[in-house]
Parts: sequence; structure tokens; C-alpha cells
Amino acid sequence: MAAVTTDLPNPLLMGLEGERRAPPCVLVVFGASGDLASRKLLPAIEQLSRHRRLPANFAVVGVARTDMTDEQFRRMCLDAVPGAGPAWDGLVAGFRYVAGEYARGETFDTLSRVLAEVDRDRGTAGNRVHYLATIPAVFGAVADALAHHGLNQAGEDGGFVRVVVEKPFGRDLESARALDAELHTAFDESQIYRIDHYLGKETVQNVLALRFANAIFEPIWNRRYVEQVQITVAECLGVEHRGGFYETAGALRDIVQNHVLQVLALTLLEPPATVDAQGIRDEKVKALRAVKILDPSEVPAYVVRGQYDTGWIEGAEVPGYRAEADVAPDSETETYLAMRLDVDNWRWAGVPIYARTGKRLAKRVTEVAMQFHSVPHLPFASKLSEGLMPNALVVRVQPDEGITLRFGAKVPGQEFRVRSVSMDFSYGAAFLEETPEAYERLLLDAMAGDPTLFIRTDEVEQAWRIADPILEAFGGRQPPLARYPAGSWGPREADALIARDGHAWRTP
Amino acid sequence: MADPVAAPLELGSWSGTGVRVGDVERALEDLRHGEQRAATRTSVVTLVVVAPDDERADRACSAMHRLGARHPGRTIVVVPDGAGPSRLDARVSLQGGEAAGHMLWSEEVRLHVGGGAADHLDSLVEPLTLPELPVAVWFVDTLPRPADPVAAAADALIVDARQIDGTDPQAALAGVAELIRANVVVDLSWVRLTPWREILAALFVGPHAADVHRVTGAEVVGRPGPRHLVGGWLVDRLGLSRQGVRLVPDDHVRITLTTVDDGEATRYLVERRGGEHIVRARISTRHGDQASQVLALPDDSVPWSLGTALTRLRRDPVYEHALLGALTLSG
Repeated sequence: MAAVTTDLPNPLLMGLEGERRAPPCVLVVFGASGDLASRKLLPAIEQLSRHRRLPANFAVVGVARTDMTDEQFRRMCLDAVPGAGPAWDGLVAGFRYVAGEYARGETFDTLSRVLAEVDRDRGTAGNRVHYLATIPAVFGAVADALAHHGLNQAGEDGGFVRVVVEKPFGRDLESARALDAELHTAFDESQIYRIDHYLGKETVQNVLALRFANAIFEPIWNRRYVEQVQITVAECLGVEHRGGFYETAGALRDIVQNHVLQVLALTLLEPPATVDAQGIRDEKVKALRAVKILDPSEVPAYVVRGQYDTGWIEGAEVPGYRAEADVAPDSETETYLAMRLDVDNWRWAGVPIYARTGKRLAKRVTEVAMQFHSVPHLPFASKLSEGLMPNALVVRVQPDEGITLRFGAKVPGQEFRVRSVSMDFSYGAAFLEETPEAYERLLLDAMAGDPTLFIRTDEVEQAWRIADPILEAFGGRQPPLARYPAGSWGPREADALIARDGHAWRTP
Repeated sequence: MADPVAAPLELGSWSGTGVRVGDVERALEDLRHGEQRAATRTSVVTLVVVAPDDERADRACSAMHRLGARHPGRTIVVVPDGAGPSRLDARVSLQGGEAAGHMLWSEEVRLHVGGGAADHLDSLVEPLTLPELPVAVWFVDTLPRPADPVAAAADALIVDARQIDGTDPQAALAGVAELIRANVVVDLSWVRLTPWREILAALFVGPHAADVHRVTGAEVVGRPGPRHLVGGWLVDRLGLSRQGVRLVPDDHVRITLTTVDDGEATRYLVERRGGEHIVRARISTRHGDQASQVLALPDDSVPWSLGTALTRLRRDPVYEHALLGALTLSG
């Protein structure tokens, strides 16, 4: 028989839209008995299976300290996706579990043996994606142990080994570098996939489509036309059962350093030559590098930190932050942060970028609003143009993903009255295709080896470079902690921050 | 399957007998103006449904309602009756509901067309299509007659080769093959085969990737029509001879591809046993199964295949070649 090379394309895949699928591999989940695995990862794997994105040669190996048998782990996987049906039962039947401490060599001896068995039984070809769904404190120990047991590199037959790391990526620049150094002792940067699930959201990616697939937006996407940018990441929820964690994090570390700065980078970046891993991430880093770094002494003039008091959310009275479980009664942790950022480059110089995030705000919403300059001259009598606001383009990331364009229109009638109207585009209603969940998309990307929507080490560093002076000021209790009632849009100090520039926060 | 629309609500309706198209246009406009919730719209296609009778028009509408968040926006359902007197009866309704957190609304126009106008449906439909959007015409259980002007006015035709009134499946495939010469055709039978094709293709990955180029024979068990399409697809994609593809009639479905290396056969097999909604896929040698997988099939209901078809309103050369291949096979 003539030799056939494997690099010829599979002729049966031609014309199939579901062409993008995972190669044979094992997904090794560290922290498999935890909340993230049950709530996000297992449902995402089930969705990948349901959408036929997983090969026959696929398995999950769970690793955690909780003592469980394979059978108990499989039961946990089935319970995590109730009503999934026989295909999920069939997939889960091949899952394995390793119980043990991450610091003990025996755990990884067992893992090596189990992975060899899975490779033999399932044909997973030595390909691995290690998913670190544990607390960050054990990332280093796991990486070390994987390297020590030779589980950090592909075997002699080729293949791949990757590691997916959940945020937070450090607590500041120094600890982020230390964490990276630990990971880099075991893995090359090309093997490391830092996950920020915001980047898996369709609308976040749609910012790129809006900007670079349309001829009408990019020419006005600069200081000449844009007066200000407002980024809002608002939550109704309080800290729920995560009080202990939140006390050590705060809004800056939990939301701003990652989600807000990622959204900001995608909004402000220069057009990439290609929308791929290098093209996008290079431009994101350039955008973040252009953000002006505050001196800690300047922070009180540009940043407001706040904490929620008791208040009302959706008709129910809720406690203040200091009354939440596992929160110190005199806690200084910020649950709200508003800031003005400036970007020192030709495109954005002089355009204030306002960002705010908080818990227990009036509404759950994430959006980016570009507000444009007013027209240079309004040729209508002022009493006929009351209610006319500058143009605005709002990209809503959640919950009702879409785009709103605000523009002026004539009010029907004998007079030439004009006022603002909004044109809404609802993303979910505009396409006949189904939208994958963020984790489903990102897990497939990691298995398929596409790091475009993952965060590179230099992005993490740039983000901490912006956050560090603010953390330093917060350490010195500057600016003083402002209070806001739960269910409001934040403290009055935040209104004053933006009012100083003659602006006001939008009401999303 | 998309999220269903939660309790779709008829926000308003209008009907008239012996009307003109202009009356229908005005009714659409009045309904939109009268219903504040329907003030914004995001539509992606106008779907025209040509149904042979009211019962099948109702079934088609029911499938549309169950599309949930994947509803295309405006649907024009036409029931032609060339035998009756020349007249146009119409009903227009505006429907709303919530799906996947979005308030959605859609318009439905039902036209009963009597007399000579039944041969010129394009003249009734074109004034009602949404501007700047593609028009898909779904022929329910029928095929358009040659040079049908409503087909010529469409960007794409949706048919179901498995289910055409008054013809057997192979003759239906021949009818569709005629259509593809001048039209973009999306065949719901082919759409339903998508997961089967994906599952079969996915067996050839990793260490088995090269084997797809070594397949020497195929057996396709199933119903007439679909099994011919699968056979035609394998003939075309794998370069198999007609003799290399064996078609076997049965109610359950099984596709087997065979490679032979040093006299030893390996079988790549996907099958659905009677009554199951799952597919079993495996690679077998005489030493046993080398890989096996159980996969969920999407609900093969009309809403699923229609919703998927509406995302593929373009020429599909793989289908066209499979269709031509199918016509060369018998069995």
C-alpha cells in the first residue's frame, strides 16, 4: 500500500461547520471536587460533547484532596449536569479520579499511572491539558510536581501538554512575577493559557468585529470624535459566600485588574494586522502600556473606593458588606471602585476613560460606552433641542448583549424640535446561530491550541503596573473609603470625580 | 436546540378576505405602530413558506414558533389553490415572547391564494419581503415546478428530499438535482445528516487520521433517500467506486467504513439502534474496540433542521456532489 501522510486534510470534514474540534487529549482538572469544576468546567465539557466537539479519544482525570473513588467522582460529574442524557453518562464512564495532597509525590505517582492507563485505554496519545482550578497558592507546587514527574512535556511521539491557569494571576506585580516564575520552571510561555472568562464572551469579541469589520466606526474611534469612554462592570450580588476570599481581594484585584483592563485594552487597541494570538495580544499590550501610571500620591485625585452599606436590592433589604459572613466588622476592603484613566498615545491623548465596578449596585450590567463630542454648532433654537444629547455608542456585554446607538432625530410635529433616540441591536436576537458559553469556547480553544483569547504574561504585567500604585495608596487608606447604600449606583464621591471634568455617569 | 420562546404572545392581528397586497402592507405597519414593544427589530431573513394545505401550513408555523431565539423575523406563509376562484385572503399577526433573556417579536403573514395568482406567488410575496435581507422559500412536502417564479425570486430554496408528495425518495433526489442547476438549495434531509457526518469524520483523528485516505469500502444501512445521500457523499469524498458502497435498507442507521492493512480489516462504525437518540461510534479491529464514543444526536425535529438550514442559505458544493453521487447508486 502506498504511504499516506497524515497532513492531508480529512475529506469528510469538508463543508462541515463543526470542523473545529478538540484533538485526542486528557483534561486533567486540579481542584476537581471544587465549585469551579462543578459549576463551570463540567457543564462546559458536557456542552462540548453535546455539540460533538470532543473526539472519542478524550477523558477527564480529576485531581483533588477530597477522598473519592472513580465511581464517586463520576457520580459527582453526573450530578453537576442534571438531565444531560446517555451521551454524558457514556463520556463520564471513562473519567478517572486521583485523590491526594498537591504537595505529596505519591499523588503525582498515582496521576502518572492513571494517565498512562487512560492513554492506553482511550487512545489519548499523551496529549494533556492541565487545568489549575485550585487556589493560586498551590499553582507552584502542582507545576513543580508535574515537571518532576515528566508530566509537563509531550512524550517522544510529539503531542502537546498545556496548562490552564485561573485568575487571580498574583496579588500585585511582584507576586504575579513570582507566580509566573514558578510556572515557567515547568512550562514554556507557549504552554500557559491564563483564562479570563470575560474574553470568552461573544460580545467582548464582538468589540473587535464592530471596530474592524465596519468601515464607519473605526474612522471616528479616536480623540477627534470621542469625548469620553465609560466602562461599567456592575453587579447586584454582594460577596455571597466568598466573604473570606473577597476580604483579601477587593474590587481592584477581583475585577479591575483583569476584566476591566481587558475590556479597556480591546476597546482602545490599534487595528491588529491579524486577529490571531500574536496580533491581538501584541496590540493589547501596547494599549495597556500607553495607560498613564499614577503616582500613589495622585491616586486620591483619580480613584474613588467605596464599600456598600445596608440597602435594598430587588425589593429585599440586604446587609452591608461589614455584616456579611467572614468579613471583618471594620473591613477597609473596597467593594466599589471608580477611576479616571488617561491613555498617552496619539489616538487617545486627552480622552478621559472612566471605569467603575461594584457589588450591590442597582443593576447587573457590563458595558462600554463611547460618548462622542457634541456637534460644533447646533442650528436649532435651544428650546427646540432640549433633550438632545451627544451621540453615544454603547456595547453591552451583559446581560442583554448588544449595541445601542444614540442619535438626534426630529420630533414629529410642526416645529423643528429635535431630541435623542436610541437604536438598539440585540445580539442574541440577531443571529440564527446558538451562542457558546464562555467556558465552552475557552476550553475548546485550550485543547485546540488557540491562545488568542487567553492572557499573555506581558499583559498580566502591564495590568499590575497600572494597579500597583493604586494598591499602594489603598494600603495607606487613601483615598478614604466612601460609603454607598446597596442598590444605588455607588458613592457620591464617584459622581464628584467625574463631575470635575464636566461629565456624569451614564445610567445603564 | 435554541431556548424556546416563553409563552409566545399574539400582540395583535388583522385579517381580511378578498384583499389586496397593499391592505396587508398597511396592516403590518399599523400593527407595528400600535405595539410599542415591537418598536425595534433585528431580522436576518424573510422566510416564505409554500404549503400545499392549511394543515401543513399550521405545522410549518408551529415549527417556526418553536425556533425560539433563532426566529428569523418575518414569515410569509402561502397556501396556493389554483383550482379556486381568483382571490386573496390574508391574516397578519404580530407575536412576542422572551427567549434567552431577549424580548423577541416576529410577524407572520398567512396568504390564501386562489385562481391564477397561485401561479404568480412572487408578485404577492415580493412586496412583503424585508429590505436588504435574503429571502428563503421553504417548499413544505413539495418541490417548485420548473421555472416557478417564486423560486426565481428567492435567494435560497429549502426542501426536504425525504418527504415530497407523490414521489419516491430517489425520484425526489432527482427532482432536487434538477433544482440545484439554477438555485441555491438547502435540503433538510442533508441538514439532518450533519451530525452523522461529523461523528463519522471525527473517528479519523490522532493515530487514525491517515486511515481516512485508505478506506476501501462502505456500507450504509438506513432509509431510502438519506442512505443514498450518505452513499453519494462517501463516493465523492473518499473516491470510492460505486461497487465499493453497499446500501442496505433498514429502519435503523449504521454507517461502516473499512480499511484493510496487511490483510487485517479495521472498521469505523457509527450507528443508531432503533428508538435511541444517541449514536454509538467506534473503531473495531479483530482485537476489539480501539475507541468508542456515545454521542447525543440533536433532536431531529423540524424546528432543529429548519433553524440550522436558515444559517446555511448558500451553495453547498459538498451536498451537490453527494446528491449527484447518490443518483448513481442503487439499493
